[in-house]
Amino acid sequence: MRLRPPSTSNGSRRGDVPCSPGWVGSLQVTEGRVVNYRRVSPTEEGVSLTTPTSNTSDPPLSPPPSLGAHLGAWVSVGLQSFGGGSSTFTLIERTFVYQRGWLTEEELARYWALCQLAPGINLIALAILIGHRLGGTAGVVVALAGMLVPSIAVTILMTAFYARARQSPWVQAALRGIIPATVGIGLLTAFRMAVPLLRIGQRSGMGMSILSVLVLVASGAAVLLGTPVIGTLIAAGVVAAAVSWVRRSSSQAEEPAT
Amino acid sequence: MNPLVLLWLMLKASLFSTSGMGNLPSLNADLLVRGWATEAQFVESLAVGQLSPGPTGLWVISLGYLVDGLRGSLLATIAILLPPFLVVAVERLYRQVKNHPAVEGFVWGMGLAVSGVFAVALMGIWRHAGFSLWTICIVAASFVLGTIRRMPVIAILALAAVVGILSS
Repeated sequence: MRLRPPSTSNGSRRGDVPCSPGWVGSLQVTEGRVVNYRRVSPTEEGVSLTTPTSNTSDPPLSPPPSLGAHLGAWVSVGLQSFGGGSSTFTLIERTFVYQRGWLTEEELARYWALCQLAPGINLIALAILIGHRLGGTAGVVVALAGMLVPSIAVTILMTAFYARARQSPWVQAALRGIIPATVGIGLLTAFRMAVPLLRIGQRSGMGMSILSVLVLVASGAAVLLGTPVIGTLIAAGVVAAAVSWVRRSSSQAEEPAT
Repeated sequence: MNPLVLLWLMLKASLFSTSGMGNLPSLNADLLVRGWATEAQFVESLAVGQLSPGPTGLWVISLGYLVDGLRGSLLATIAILLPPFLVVAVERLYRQVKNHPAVEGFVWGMGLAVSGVFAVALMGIWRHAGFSLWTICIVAASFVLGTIRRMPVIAILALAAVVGILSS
């Protein structure tokens, strides 16, 4: 199966970016510049992020930062990043690409696409890649510490405060609103994760369209009936992998490569 | 509560997720079965994760604190720090296999399953809060407000808190 046909137009080529699974992101590169960065992947917040970069010529990169400057940049990102996923990504882009000039747009876009595939929190993976690129192993430590230590401290303090104030009637009353609101925001996240993936199925024909809905519903139902979550996720991946592979090979057998 | 088991459960959940809240369904199932956490603690820690700075995925640290104090939050920190390091391996591997249909298919299928399973876990939390007209209205309102791009999540939660206080 071809999840997304590489729609190359004249004069543009697909950059050497890890963009082929449609939901990871799509980058078109012309003459070494990113002309079209379309992000279709789910993020924690799911806000789609379009970075118009067509008219900017890449400024020359600044030399790699000292450890102190590197740490300072991450601390400023960590302290400002309320709201997770996309807003933090935008902050990182502004700080590292535009303000300090330590990375190119293209590098950052490539790293972010890779992070969608890595396990766990995408922003942590991004900090690891950028930290390593800018300062090797010490850079990784600096990036993670700078981004996470302030946030983790605030998270623990807020939880501790909440655990003490839980009994207060004010907190109870506020929770009557906050709890359903958290569910609503979570459902929106699930919805935003699913939509781009369902679209990929739709583009690949009727069969894949049905398969995508089936995988979505069946895995939800399986977990509801008590199947272990991780087993369900792996099974869904294996089924989709097998179907995609068979489809791709059979379509290649029918019509030679275009 | 065995801290090593807790660490393993959190690590496993984080290892098989590709976003900050993707570890929710697995943790939800594992911790509820053992009686180590309640639905209430899940939703409380999710709310803290939305309110606090940094990645939303830090909600697990809040959950760790609620179920096992400071030790729990430390274990949660370890559990979310380790799996993203695999991005280095992903970077190497991906150059070689990125166009293989099976790889594309696996990532696609697992992503779909994550969304389905995630929704089911949220329904469990919702059921705990009660399917009343009240909760349905707030869930729907925050869903709709969330689709407004300029609306920060923290503002939605603050609004919901005010509505909760005013209504009681």
